[in-house]
Amino acid sequence: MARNDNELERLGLTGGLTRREVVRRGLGGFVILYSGALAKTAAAGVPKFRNKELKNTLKIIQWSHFVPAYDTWFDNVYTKKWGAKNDTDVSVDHIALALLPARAKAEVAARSGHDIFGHLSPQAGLEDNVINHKEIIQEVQRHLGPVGKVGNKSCYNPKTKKWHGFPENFVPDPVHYRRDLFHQVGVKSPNTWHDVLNAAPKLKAIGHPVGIGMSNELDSNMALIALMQCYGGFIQDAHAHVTINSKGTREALAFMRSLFKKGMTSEVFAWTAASNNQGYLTGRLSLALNAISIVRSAELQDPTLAKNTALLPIPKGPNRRLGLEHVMGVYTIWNFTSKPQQKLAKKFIADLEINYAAAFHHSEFYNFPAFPKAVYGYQKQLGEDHHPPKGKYRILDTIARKYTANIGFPGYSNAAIDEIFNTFLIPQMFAQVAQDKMTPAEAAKSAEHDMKAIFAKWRKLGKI
Amino acid sequence: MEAAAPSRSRRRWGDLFEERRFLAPALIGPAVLFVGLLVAVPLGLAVYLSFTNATSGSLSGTWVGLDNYIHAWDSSNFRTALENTIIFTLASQALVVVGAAILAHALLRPFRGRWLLRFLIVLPWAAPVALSTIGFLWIFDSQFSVANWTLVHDVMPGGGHLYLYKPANWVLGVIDDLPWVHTGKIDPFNPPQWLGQATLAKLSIIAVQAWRILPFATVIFLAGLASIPPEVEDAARMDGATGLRKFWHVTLPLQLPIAIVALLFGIVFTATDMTVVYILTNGGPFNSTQVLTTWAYQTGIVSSSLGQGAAVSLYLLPALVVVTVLMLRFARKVEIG
Repeated sequence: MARNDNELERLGLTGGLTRREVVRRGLGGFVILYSGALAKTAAAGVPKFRNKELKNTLKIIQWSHFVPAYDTWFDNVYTKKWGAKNDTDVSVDHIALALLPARAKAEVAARSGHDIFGHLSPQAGLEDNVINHKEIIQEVQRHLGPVGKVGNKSCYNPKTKKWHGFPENFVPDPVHYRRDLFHQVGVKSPNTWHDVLNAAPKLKAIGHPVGIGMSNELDSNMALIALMQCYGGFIQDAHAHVTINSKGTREALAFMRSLFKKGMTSEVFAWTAASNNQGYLTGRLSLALNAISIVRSAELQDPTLAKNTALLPIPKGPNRRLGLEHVMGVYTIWNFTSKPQQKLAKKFIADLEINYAAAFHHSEFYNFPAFPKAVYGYQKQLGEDHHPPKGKYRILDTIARKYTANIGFPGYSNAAIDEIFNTFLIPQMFAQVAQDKMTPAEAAKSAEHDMKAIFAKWRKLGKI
Repeated sequence: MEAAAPSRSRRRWGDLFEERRFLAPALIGPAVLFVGLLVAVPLGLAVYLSFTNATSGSLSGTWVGLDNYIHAWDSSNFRTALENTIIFTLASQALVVVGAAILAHALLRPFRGRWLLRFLIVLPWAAPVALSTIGFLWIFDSQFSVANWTLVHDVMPGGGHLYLYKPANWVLGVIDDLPWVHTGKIDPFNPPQWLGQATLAKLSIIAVQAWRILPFATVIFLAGLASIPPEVEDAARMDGATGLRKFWHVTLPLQLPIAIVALLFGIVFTATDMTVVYILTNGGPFNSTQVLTTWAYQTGIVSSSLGQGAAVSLYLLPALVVVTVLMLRFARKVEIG
């Protein structure tokens, strides 16, 4: 026996834990942990329901807001209050905005997930997997009047008569520009795209290029579709027929190529959704199209930069002045969610929208309600913001009412538009022209070919 | 008498497991079940889906025959993805083979700090691919690239000045004089966009793929070199074979089978990888860096055309089957040798 022990020791197989010791320590650990849990229960009282304090649970997933104060309020104040009132434990998961579409598809594939899914763009492609949100729309309309045109065209499918999402909010998309730099190069403001092109070479020469993305990301998508609209280029017409290969699109492509060569740098081809924020906040960019997250961050990090930053509606093009919502907050409820959870989710969404004033305030005017009458006297609030220059946020009201369209304007945000948006066909078309890989005519024709195939697919599936 | 019955029954079961024909299936069964459930079933499902018009959210659709395969081939993006998959795989593996051969020879001889160096070389293999690729995303960032910062900033401490882009531009100028190459020069205000320009983005992906596989190949090469019996080396030396001659006639032929196993593994790992391209470029700029895996994801998941996505992903299957068969044959050869 002793010889065997010596042999084991020589091989390094002794001196560790014996099986008996592992079991003994494991049991000890379990007892300690269980005692801790008992103490917690003793302090909190016996749960009313099996394994939980409240009767219901509600799981929500949405993006990590660009205004962190909104998430703090939503997670720690609003959902807690609503939960206490409705005997519900509300949990909120946040993910990066770029991961939302893939996460939604994963939940659909698994046929399980969160009770409420918060998207950042209309999700008509998921129509077969969500409930008809008509009931929530009607409930909110009973309190607030009709839904706004952006919300309506983003979440309603006139072909199937289904509300494939609930339009919670939309975000106006102003131009941020450096007043000091524009003044320095002798251009008053970027009121038209011609002004931007005029100022761009001078701004680049003094080390401050213009920043409009041409990459596979959200902000590039929004800015470039908006630019196209100003030149009269649209993906589709009001009856869902592809119209991308138009004079307006070709002119917008030629303009952007010229603007890139004269006043931008190649970084715009590799941008992420946060890059224009970063470029502007480091003081490098002179102009960017983005929601007010840029100027809000500047107010916190660099008050001088914030003071020198002005907001304007999208510059006017030869055709018109018409931008897009920067993001469209859309809540959906899966049709595979259980009926009681669906009921709870519907109530949560309706209550949030009916009482949207607090959400508007805590998003620091980032989220505009999709129901125009949801926040009484919001114009006054915009004017009263104390950050200099005073009154700069008033323009958001004009942008929201007059210069904001849905993706897919003048038609609805249908499933084909959803796919074109999520596969970044528009930024790719612009990047190919800007890098001289294609002429404007070739790029528009190529995009038309791809888009027609996408529209044909969804038409065949009965969604358009 | 009654107690003897269960004891006999237990013994009968025990005897059964002593027999090879029962024991072998019983031992291999769980592994077969595991592979069947996690590989064969999804593969069968993918093959089925590729012949249907299934959309995301459902695992069935109408039978469309070869339509999805024909549709995929007609797409210029698919052909770019196929071409990129081949280029990225071959180019990165060429770098890996050369790099691993050099590293393995350098690390074979004992020297101070060899353990630490081996550890550092193997480290990238131990790090999760997604994490290390995010590290490269920062190195190649559009605005805060570490590589660009080093190129365009004064890297000389104290009073001197050294801007690396200046000697780099001199080299690029020489290359630019060649008749068939156009490289351009580095502009410190508008530095190279490693992930925003098609050629640079492709080179960046190849570099990251090579960096990722290099440690694995180095370890395999090292094992191959270590397995060459010292008598063979001694005999070669006595016969007067040294340096390159010894490498060509003795080391290389003995090392080749195991080196090919490393190469074939590298091909499979690179050709089937999605993470590097997805994180670095997401297929951009303008789909110029799409590979079959990212294009299959974009088609099947993002665009909701599950059937078409399955067809795209299966295009690579025949080539990978050939590589796998070769891999197994070489592995067997090594075992026998």
